[in-house]
Amino acid sequence: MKSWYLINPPSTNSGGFEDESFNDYRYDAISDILGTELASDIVIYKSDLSEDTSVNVRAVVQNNTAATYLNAMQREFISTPGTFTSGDYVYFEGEYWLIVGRPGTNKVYEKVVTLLCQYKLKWQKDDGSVVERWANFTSASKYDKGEAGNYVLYLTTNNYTILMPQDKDSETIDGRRVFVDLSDEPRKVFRITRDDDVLLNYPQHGGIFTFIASKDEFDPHKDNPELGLCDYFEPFVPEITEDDPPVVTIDITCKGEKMVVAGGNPKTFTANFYSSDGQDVDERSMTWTVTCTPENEQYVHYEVIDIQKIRIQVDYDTSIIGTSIMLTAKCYNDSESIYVEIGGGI
Amino acid sequence: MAGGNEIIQYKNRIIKDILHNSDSTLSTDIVTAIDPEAVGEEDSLLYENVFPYLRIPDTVDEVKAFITMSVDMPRVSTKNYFFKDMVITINVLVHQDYMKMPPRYSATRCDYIASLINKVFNKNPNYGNRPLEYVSDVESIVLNKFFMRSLRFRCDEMNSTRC
Repeated sequence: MKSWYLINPPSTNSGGFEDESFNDYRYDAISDILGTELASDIVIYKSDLSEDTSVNVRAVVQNNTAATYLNAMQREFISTPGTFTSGDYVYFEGEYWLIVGRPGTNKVYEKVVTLLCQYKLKWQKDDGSVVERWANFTSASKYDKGEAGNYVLYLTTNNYTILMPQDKDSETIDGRRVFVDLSDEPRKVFRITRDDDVLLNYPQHGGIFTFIASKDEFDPHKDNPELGLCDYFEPFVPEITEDDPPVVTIDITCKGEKMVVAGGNPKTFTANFYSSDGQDVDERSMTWTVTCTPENEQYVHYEVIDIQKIRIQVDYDTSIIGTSIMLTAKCYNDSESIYVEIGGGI
Repeated sequence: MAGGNEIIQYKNRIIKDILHNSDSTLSTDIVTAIDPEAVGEEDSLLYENVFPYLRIPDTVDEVKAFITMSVDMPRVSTKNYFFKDMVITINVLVHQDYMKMPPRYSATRCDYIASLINKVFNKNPNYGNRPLEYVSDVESIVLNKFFMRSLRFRCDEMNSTRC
């Protein structure tokens, strides 16, 4: 004969005070429900969807049989207090739901409001790395006819309100252009034109960024539909080969384009070092070389202002515009050269 | 070119002078600045980037450069009834994201294309009774996203066919 027993025996209350009794039994109620078929398995992810920080929990799902299509994109989740943080994702029924509301508790259970994420945004940061975030979209111009123009031309129009987790990577999307397009070869481009970081900020409980995305034009010269990235650029990757490993890989950078304006301000170029074997590089072994044609030498002036920095200035002359100079940084036996174009100011 | 169909003839000649100029370098430079992939297939720009009328008919959803035009006969010549004034307007439109050109040009794309258009038509003897006169060249902004340079040229034409 199989005997059954209580897994979590109730605590013994001998004090007789009401608050003691409440504190002793309050979590039992939600724990019992979470252990039944009324609750569901969900996974809570941080904004980067890392499996390392994901948590499997049990939660009761409310509003799962909504009566309107807009309500059908909203769910409430109930679990033990301390489970949820605003800006986290809840993975439920094969979809990601963004916790948009501030988690609230009635001292027995915690409840959050979530919205369905319909689309995963993708963009490239200044350092070339790619960020992806699931986001919730609502129309910010519901009755707009989709085009605006005058007697010369018409442009497409559309605006979305986008909700995304509040984190350091998400805030880098402000001002960028992104594809919002489900087709295999996306062409619908939007520019993030408004960034609200305080509207849904919950200082102790995470938060949400609110963005406005405005319709922009597809740029075949810069946008990469295959990668799903607008304004795509090839990220810098230090070249390391197994056969002949370089001691140092050098990257020459500058603010803006690799161009110096003839007759304009001096431009500073910086050499960054990457050691292939992780060893420290003695920057004192670095040297700069500026190479240009003999005719242009009289117009090109440079000054090494720091071991890693060189400042180049070019005098104005119509003959020098459109030409280029070669800038080389050498460290130990390795060197890196770039061509610096000389522009005319526009 | 007198005879009542000058406007049609003028527009045909304008298109030819832009896309198939006798100075082929000039046409190549214009086409390259509008769409480098169209070099060698200049006619593909017609009704895609170059329009023989003033308004771009389709809603623009791509970063592009355009040329639109009109040919007008605003009045019979005030000097001589046997002549009429002809005004050619050529608009160069460039999306703001396409304005910047490689440093070697040292010019915005809109200004550069407009300067080539000016080379093609300024003092061009193939229109009217005397070489085309460069009247105005005005920059403006369209829908906050396109820069436009509007060039005007003037000539006079016979008011009717010669007997």
